[in-house]
Amino acid sequence: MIAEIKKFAEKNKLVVTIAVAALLLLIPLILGSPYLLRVAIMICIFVILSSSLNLIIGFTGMFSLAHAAFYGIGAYCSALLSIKVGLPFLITLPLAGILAGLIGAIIGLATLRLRETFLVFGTLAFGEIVRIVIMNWTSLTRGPMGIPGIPFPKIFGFEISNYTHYYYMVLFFAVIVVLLIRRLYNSRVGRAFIALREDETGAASMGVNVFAYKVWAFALGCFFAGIAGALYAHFVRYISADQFGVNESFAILTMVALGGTGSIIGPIVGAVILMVFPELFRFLAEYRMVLYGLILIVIMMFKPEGIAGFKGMFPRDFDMMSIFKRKKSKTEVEEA
Amino acid sequence: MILEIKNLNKAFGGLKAVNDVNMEIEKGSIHAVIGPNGAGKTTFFNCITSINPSNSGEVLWKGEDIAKLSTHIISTRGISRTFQNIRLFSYMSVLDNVLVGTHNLTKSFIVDAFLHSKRFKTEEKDMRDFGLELLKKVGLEEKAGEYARNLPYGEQRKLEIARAMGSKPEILLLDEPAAGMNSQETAELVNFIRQLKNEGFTVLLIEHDMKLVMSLADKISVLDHGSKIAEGVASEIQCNERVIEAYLGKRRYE
Amino acid sequence: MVNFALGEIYMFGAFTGWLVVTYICPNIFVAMAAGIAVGWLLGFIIEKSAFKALRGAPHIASLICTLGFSVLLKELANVLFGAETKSMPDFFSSSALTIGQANITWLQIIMILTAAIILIGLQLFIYKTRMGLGIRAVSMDHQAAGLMGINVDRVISVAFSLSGALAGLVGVLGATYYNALNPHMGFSPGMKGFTAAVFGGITSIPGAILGGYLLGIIENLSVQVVSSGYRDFIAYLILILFLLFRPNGILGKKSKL
Repeated sequence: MIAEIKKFAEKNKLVVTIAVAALLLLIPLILGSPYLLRVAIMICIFVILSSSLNLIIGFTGMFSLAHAAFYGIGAYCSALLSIKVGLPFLITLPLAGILAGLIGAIIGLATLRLRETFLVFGTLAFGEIVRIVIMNWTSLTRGPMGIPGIPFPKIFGFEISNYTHYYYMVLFFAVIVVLLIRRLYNSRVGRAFIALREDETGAASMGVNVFAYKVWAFALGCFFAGIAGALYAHFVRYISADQFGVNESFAILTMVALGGTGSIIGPIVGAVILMVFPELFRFLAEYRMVLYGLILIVIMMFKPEGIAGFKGMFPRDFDMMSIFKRKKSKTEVEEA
Repeated sequence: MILEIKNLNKAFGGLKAVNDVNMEIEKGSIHAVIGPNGAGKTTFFNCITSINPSNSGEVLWKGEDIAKLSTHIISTRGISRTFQNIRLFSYMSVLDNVLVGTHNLTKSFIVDAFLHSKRFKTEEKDMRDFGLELLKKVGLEEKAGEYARNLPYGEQRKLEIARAMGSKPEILLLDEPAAGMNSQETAELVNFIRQLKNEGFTVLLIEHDMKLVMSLADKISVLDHGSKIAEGVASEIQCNERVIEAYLGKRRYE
Repeated sequence: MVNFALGEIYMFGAFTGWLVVTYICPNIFVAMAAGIAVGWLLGFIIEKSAFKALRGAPHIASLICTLGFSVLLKELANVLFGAETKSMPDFFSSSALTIGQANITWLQIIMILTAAIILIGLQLFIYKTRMGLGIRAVSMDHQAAGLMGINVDRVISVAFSLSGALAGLVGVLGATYYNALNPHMGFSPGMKGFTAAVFGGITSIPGAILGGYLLGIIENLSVQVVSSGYRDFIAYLILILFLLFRPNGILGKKSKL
């Protein structure tokens, strides 16, 4: 069925794009209730998180259970800079990403020599360390009391304070991040990432600096996670260390794996499903999470490549048409 | 001399896989390395490309010792290789495999990709054209969009050669390029390697197919138990006693 | 292979022990046996669904599957037993003997003895039995082991069930010792278990036990020296340092990794 949807989407690219765009833009009208709009905003934030984790896991074949820690670093960075220094949102947002990316690069330098199980636990330990430091550095982070009163973002003097406006802003960033990652995917750097996922020795023999590219991929993924953190902090306006623990990392990882590792659309599908699921099954009360665990197991057992993933190990969708597209652009260049 | 190997040693524990090997590869020649199974041929290649760095000895590339450089840097010097047990990027398209081969020729980085900068666009276009041209050379241009893993074995070998040529190397190290090919494909391969020589490439190859080696190689080096036991042109090797002994001695156990 | 649900098996073992002691028979040894049985069963089920069914699939699928089990077991315990912390009935809290200032309770003696029995038993199992040989072979190279006629599926299944059984047993002991059970009790021991194993040497059983002791000592020292908030911090820092500089641990063999 997924294949048919894909085929249909490819055939009617323009129509589908317009329809999806219209749907996304009209969501505040369709949903109506602020509660559901809140869910929509969180979906956008988690789309950024899962897509950026996919960059690490799906592209380069590494692993990270520290993703929520970088999300947290971004959130705290932006929150503290705007409260204590009074910097505007448009400056704290990139700074949050850069700080998360920098720390990601340092952690990457330390841990990316590890393999499989060791990398899993190494990153898990780093994630916990970040949380513990936030929890105990009370002079800066107020520790377990968290940081309340984070201001709404102000962009060119316009305060984004209601859910509808916030939704459009977060949607904008989510779309940008997905598009950037897609562009990366079809570039020299993206191909190097995927090559080292497929065969490190082969990639090194082709001149790819394996370790450097791993660190870049990791840092870049962390950068986007930091951006997501800043968007989150100014939305909920109160953050504390326990919002960025291992369970969040697990949730993001699950979105990636459930949606489809290594594909662009997969993490988006995963994020939407995992965020909508608890809302749909609210009537089940405490049995909801039992069902959640059960569904996770069943989907992984019968569709290990993920719902929107492709058959095979970590397949990558290749757009046959793109060869011809490039050719077309070549003639265009010649004409010009 | 484009590549000169001096007293190269590599041991795995007590096993001397490459034992004090000296070799000189002339620019523009086809140089074959033969030897019985387990003679250390592939390890020899792995030492040159630093996949298993050598313990001692020198690998002089145009006079520069590259023995201590890491694999990806050696690739930038103009040395490119294929693998005995095929190391293609299975879940990448055939064309993308070759494009990874061109990694060194291009410079565009993350920001270029994000912004689709001018550099990115021209590089992408040039490399795509170059990649398709290489695929045409090995006869795979029609399969550019397929996953590498879906190609038959012989075509995977061809693709590996095309990928290795993606970096515009001066020397190609081919590790058993004819393994798994049928006789027609092997004949095509022989022609292809000759053509490479005519284009000015230097080729260093490991091969088991004696007919191929004898008809193709300008010079042959024979390894046995990690040591070089003979070297010369085809006719010299064919009647060299130590070589016959090494091969027949092996055959007795088979 | 990582089993993220091991901590939850520990938790389920603890609740099994609690059920047995409260409703069936107030004897810690019966509770321990029940913990072993339930742990074995859970280990078996998880292996069958998360690993056996997914052999050849990407590593991450197995991992997510065990995560699914972790969620499932935790939430199941939540539904069945409630989220509030329960306490184990009092056993053996009377002191058995006193050495100088230190009181040693019967429970502590049982725990130390159990640890010793597990250590010796596992060591014998791994090095003296055919199944143990199989486990060692599979851990080095499961393909080669399969070619040598070892039933890889069975070996992996036994190894998982055994680790589940031990987790279940330790769950009963842990719950009795700390006198507290709740559905979230599994996370910390799961993580600490891996830390201790890396610390001591991942392929060595005495190493794991040594690692466990050292970790305990260092954690308690760090509480004295730094502050209690940083207790886990030290543990994780040690884990990372060991992963980086001595991935084979104190007693591990060089060959692995």
